[in-house]
Amino acid sequence: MVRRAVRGLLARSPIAALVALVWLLIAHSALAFTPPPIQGHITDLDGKLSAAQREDLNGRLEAANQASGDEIAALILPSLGGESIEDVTYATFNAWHLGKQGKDNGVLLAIAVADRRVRIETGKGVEGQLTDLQTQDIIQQQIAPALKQDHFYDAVRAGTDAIQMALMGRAMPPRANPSATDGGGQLGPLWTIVLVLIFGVFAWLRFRRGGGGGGGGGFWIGGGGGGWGGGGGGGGDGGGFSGGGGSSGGGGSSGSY
Amino acid sequence: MPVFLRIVVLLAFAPVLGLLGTGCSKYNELVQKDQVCQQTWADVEAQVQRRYDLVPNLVATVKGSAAHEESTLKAVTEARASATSIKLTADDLEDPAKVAAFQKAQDGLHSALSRLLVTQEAYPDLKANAQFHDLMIELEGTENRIARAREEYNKSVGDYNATLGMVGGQIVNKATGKTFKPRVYFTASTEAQAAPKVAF
Repeated sequence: MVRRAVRGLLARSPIAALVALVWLLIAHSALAFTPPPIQGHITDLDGKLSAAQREDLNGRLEAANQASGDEIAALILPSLGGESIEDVTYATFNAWHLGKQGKDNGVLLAIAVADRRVRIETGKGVEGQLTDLQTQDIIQQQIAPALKQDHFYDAVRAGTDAIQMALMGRAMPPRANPSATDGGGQLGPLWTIVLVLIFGVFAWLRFRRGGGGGGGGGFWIGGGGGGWGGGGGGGGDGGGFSGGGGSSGGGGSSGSY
Repeated sequence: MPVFLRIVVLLAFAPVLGLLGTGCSKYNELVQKDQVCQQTWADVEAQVQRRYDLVPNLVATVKGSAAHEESTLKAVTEARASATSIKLTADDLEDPAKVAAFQKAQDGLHSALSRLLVTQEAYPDLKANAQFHDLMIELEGTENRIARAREEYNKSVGDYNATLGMVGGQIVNKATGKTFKPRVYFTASTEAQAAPKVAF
């Protein structure tokens, strides 16, 4: 009797067929690209940066992270493997969970060497401070010129500096028509002090608990609300930075060089 | 009541209580996943609205530099008008016909915009126009956001439909008078797969 009922249920409702369709669709839309594991702020998979350069950039971005909480990361890929840079950065951004949970204040700068493509992907929370137009200006004015000369350190340095400035609401690199300057969401000095204090307290707590950070480098901030250990495994390379739980809605822009 | 009888009664009711408990949690799970679908749908709507808002500016800018493209511009304006006339509420998302109509209108606007962008090649002063340049970047960003929002929506629908389609979900749905209905996916048309390409 039970078997009959179950069979009747399946036959009468098309839902079972729908479920099958779900899996087909999900399988179909899956990317061929799998995001690489995060290696701190700088993930250079093509060996374009020396160890010292990587450390320098990592230190700068970690300092920015500790000052403002903004999580900026850069990815250098040998090739896109036939995918679009938009798909690749979106998948990587959301796999790394750049930005704090709830604040979504992460930014990812990606360079695909063989394809000569660049993209800045913004977290949902910083689209106001770092507009698509600003990311395009940063690509065209700061990043692309250096990349054309094969200066990867300069490109990443200038690009991430400009991103940081934009996120802090500071002056932007000069542009022809200053129409899209949006000062919204600027951190006041009080907030900065509060953030630094909060960070200090957490760092102290973590220190007291004796959690082994990332090889003496720095403490890393996990997901905003949910205690420590928000992101994945925390690569253990250099600064020990790993994304905190933010997500991107596809903001930013791409360019070629 | 003797102690052993109490135990027997308790044992007899335990499975019933257990079933009720799992039923309730299944129901809550469905409600929660349904909410996620509504949220992700709101994102799609917000991004589509962004596209609508861009179109008049874009048309005005192009008109200034490319007066010969009257018919292309008209097509974009008309496609926008017909797209804005189709509004989907959260409940409409269970109706394949309504979703298909919405999608058709959106695809129409998308391809009209793509045709407009192709024509820019013929107008050097349009390409050099800073405002046009900015609008292009905005449009590119918007198209990308729409694509992402649709992906997220499809993902949440997949999750919801799967929960609803599994035996537990089906039983709970039948027991509560079929309050939950499977939602319809957006399938990207081949033309809409790629955002309009903007080259500088």
